Amino acid sequence: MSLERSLQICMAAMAALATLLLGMGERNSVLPILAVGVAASSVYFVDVRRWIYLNTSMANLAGLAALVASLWDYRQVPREENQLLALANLLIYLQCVLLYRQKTPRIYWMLALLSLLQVAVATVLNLSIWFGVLLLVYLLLALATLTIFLIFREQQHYAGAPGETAVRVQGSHGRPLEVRAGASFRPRNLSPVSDHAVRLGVLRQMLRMTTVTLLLTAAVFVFVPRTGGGAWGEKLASAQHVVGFSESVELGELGEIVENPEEVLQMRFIDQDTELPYYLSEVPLLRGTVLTHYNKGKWSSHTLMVKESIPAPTATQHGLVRQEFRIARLSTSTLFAIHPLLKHDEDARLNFDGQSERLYRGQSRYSYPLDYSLLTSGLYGGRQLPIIPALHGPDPHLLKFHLLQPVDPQAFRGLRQMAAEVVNGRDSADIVGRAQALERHLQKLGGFRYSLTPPKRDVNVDPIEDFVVTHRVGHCEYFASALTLMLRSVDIPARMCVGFQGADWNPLTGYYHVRQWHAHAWVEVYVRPDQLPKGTIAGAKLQIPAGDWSEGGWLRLNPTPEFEGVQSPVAGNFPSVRQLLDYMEHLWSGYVLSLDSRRQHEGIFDPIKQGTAGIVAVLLDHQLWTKTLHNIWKLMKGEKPDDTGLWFNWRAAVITFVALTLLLFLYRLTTWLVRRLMRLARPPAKGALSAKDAEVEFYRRLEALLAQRKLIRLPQQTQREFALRVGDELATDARTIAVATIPRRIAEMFYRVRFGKVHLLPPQQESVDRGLAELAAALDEEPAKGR
Amino acid sequence: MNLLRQRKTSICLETWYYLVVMGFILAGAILREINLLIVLFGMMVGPLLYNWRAVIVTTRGLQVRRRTPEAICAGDLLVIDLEVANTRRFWASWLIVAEDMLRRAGDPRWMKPWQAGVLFSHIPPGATRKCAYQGRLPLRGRYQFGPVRLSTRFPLGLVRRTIILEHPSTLVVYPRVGRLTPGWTRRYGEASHGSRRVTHRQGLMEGDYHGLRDYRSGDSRRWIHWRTSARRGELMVKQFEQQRNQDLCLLVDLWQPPNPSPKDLKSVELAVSFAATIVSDRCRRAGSHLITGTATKTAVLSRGPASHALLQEVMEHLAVAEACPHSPLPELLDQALDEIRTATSLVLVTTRPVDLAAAPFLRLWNDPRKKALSHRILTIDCSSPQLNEFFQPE
Repeated sequence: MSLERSLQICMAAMAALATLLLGMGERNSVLPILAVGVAASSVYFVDVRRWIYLNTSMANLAGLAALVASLWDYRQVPREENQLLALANLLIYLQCVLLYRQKTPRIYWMLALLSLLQVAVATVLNLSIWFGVLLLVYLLLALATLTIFLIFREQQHYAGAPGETAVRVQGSHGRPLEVRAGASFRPRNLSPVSDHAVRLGVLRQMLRMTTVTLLLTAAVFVFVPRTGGGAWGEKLASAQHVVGFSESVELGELGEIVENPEEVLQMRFIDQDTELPYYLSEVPLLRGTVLTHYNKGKWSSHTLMVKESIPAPTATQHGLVRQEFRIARLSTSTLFAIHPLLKHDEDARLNFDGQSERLYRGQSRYSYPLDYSLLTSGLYGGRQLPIIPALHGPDPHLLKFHLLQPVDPQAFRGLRQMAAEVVNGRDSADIVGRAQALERHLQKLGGFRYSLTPPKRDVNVDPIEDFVVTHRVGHCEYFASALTLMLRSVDIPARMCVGFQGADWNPLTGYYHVRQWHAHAWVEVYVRPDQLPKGTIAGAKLQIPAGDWSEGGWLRLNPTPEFEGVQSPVAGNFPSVRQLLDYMEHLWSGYVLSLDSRRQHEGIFDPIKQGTAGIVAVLLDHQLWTKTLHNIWKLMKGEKPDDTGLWFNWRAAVITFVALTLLLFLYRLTTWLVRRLMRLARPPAKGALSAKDAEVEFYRRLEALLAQRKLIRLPQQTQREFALRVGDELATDARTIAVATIPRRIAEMFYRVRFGKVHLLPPQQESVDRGLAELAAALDEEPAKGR
Repeated sequence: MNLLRQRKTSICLETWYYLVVMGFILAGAILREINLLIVLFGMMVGPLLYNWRAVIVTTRGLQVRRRTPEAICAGDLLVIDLEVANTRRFWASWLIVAEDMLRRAGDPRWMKPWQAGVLFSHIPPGATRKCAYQGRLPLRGRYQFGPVRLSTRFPLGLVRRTIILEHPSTLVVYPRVGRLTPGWTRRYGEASHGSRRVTHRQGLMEGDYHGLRDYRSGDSRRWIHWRTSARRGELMVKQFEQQRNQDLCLLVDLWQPPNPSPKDLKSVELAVSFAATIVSDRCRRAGSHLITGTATKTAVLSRGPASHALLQEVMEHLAVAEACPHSPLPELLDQALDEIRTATSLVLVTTRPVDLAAAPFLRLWNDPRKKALSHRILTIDCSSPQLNEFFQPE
């Protein structure tokens, strides 16, 4: 394959890849397909076959049209991120136009720049790890393309044809020499090198360059200081369509739930007493927000937000589990955790609404990644407690209008009837028993089926009534809504909770990974202190733990059938591909996306400062040095050193390394200085030839004459070389150009006499004398005129 | 040996666009704190720094050597070899562009020199690569080469490193050598008619050494080359050549008016070329004495046995000879008539009609010897069609 063809293919691939990256950012699958199609077709039709191409006028027109279209888009969508998309589209259009032009070095450069700009825009729009992987591929491709492009350009510039050697001759004022000389100049290939060797060498260079680039990229990424400003990420996150979790539930409108594998958060649990990892044996429910008010298929939270601090654990409280979360970018301020919550560290970023027991982010930049940790008393034996103490008992208003919101008898006739039938015959004081009966009915006994694609519902009937009576198929929101309304219809205060259930365990990261598709809705029932069950809770087989139950408790009910559990941490010895990908994602989000000012200082700058300070302290430690030298001395004498501790000390190793580096540097500096000084101190080389033969005395006269003008023969120069060199010097001046040939003539005479055993004839001797006289006269004239 | 005159690292034109994009990316990355933009910025910084470092290392330890012919005639094919040596032990050099400068001595300074660029794709460590450029120089004169500029942009073309190596050398471009017509031989013969031929015995024995041949009966034993005979196992004898040629005095009068027309310039070049052809012809056939003189700004006379050395000397004079309005022809003629023997032919090649009976020459003829020689002067005016009779330029 020719060099130009390789360049065309690489350039087209680079352009297509840049558009692919942009398409990923725009979540647009049409663009990459279009880009690949245009790139491939341009290579075939324009570059290979040369069937079609855009001339300058047509390309200008097409570019103008692309500009107008992009401006139209730009004006239509005022939001900043969408304006960015309009700019991105303009870049794609222009790239398509350029791909269909006949390629010149200028067009190649423009294509490379356009693709780079596309990648820059795509970088703003992308967060996925796959973007990172493709960015690496783009880097390799770009480096290869630029290298090929340079080779191509140089060969084209100097030869117009590929080959080992190339030549270009240019006359004065940019005219080719041929014009002035009336003859053609062409390259002469004198020392060909095999293409194979050249290719291997270029490949080695590429590898070296890629390695260096990656190292430098890492250094730049780590050390470029983060200011902590900017709000682009927030806009970007809000621009992203988040499927799965939502703070309000609107039944019927949601239609088909699209499962989204995007990761929401990573979490791990640690036993607060032992500091050992704490593993769960059943599905955890991470509560996000609480919904209390239902109206025509729509759930909302109507509580007044009261900000208060998270309760702190008491000194005697044991069995607490620390839950650590690493949350990715989200379009919600709600934070997730297992309740009840207890404070671990003071964290101003966390806010807590005591009334609804909702945890949320305090700062407005809630779209940024966040790490937080909390304690909980809601886990026992690897399981989540089915009932937890209420922080505050609901006030009468909340109880009456929200938790016990009246269920319209007309609209929910079937639902009320079903609830009444289920609890019929049960003790009205047994709140827990009645609630669990209703839960079991929806979960197992009532013939309800879980589905992500609910059937078409009757628009004239409330969707929950339709779900309970007619179409008993739905997802978790239907089940939870139905149970909440059924509980309320039998005078049990209930609320709907939205959050996540389930997680993927990854042994590589040591974290549970919660994804969007783990979003879930369930029900919590308020149990007054006097209604709390005694002993164990039926079904859960758990002893109600000791605690402050004075405000009552919240009983958790999960009516949705057939839910996948959490993966056991011990399942499987080898990590699956999915787990590896999760691990990469973990590194990507943990160390790349979420490296902010605080993390940079904590993780990078502070350790460097501390390490440097430590090394300096050790280097200046007089006692340590004395002891080390003393031990070395003892070792040299064959005695046992004093210190019989560890034979290797990393501090000592670092110090030794630094000291040796300094010594090496000093050695290099000293040798360099000595060399310089010797060069300066060296006496000038003797120009006189040590010829003893009187017949070559004329040459000695020549050298003596020239030495007066600081033209001295160097030791490595032969007499002929010196004469040529002097001739060149003399030829540069109009005053001495006439005598420029004399040194060479005399040198030739010298060779004939010295090595040819030829004696100078009188005319020749006369000619030499005359030449030397002319030379002396010209050299004398030179400074006189100069003065 | 190369003297390093200058080294320079510069940003290529396209790199400025690259830097502008980099600047925008860095600004966006810092202001908006988008980590992936910082990654992208790092990915752009890396190649730039690598390129900068690579070009510096690549051009370090490079030595260049130019091989020029000692002299050529105008219009001949000129081949210049450029040899670049990579003296480093570990790092190869890639895409080295060697640009050589070529300037004609005497050209005004404002005229840019010719540049010939040669591309060396790959020079392994410790290796030497040779490239050449070739062309034809139509004008005689002294040409100066150098300095040589070595540059590279490998591997990405973002940064260029140039080192300028002082490697001067000169090349004397002799006048074009044409062809002497049979008319020249006839006229030359007429001019020397009646003169006493003087022969010169050349060589140490019976003539100039010509070569070796097999022994034939009758050959002198003194001619046997014993060392070659011993090596070949048969008798070999040295062959000598005796040549008898006539002495010649060739005077070139390079006159031109103060504001020369193209025709005048052409006449001067024809005169020089004609003289060069005569000298070349005479020196090719050794065996005679040759006196040559040029009347340019000064009168210069060279003389000696016809030989390669003399040819070289005369050609160098002719290569750089410049015509002038005040050509000292009488002085030259005076010097030449003092030098020549009676049997020597005298040819005056001039660019103008010359009347030897005119006032400037009258004082010469006061000397009876010189007057006696004056009738033997063959004057050839190169501005007239008379030249075509003797000379055909190439």
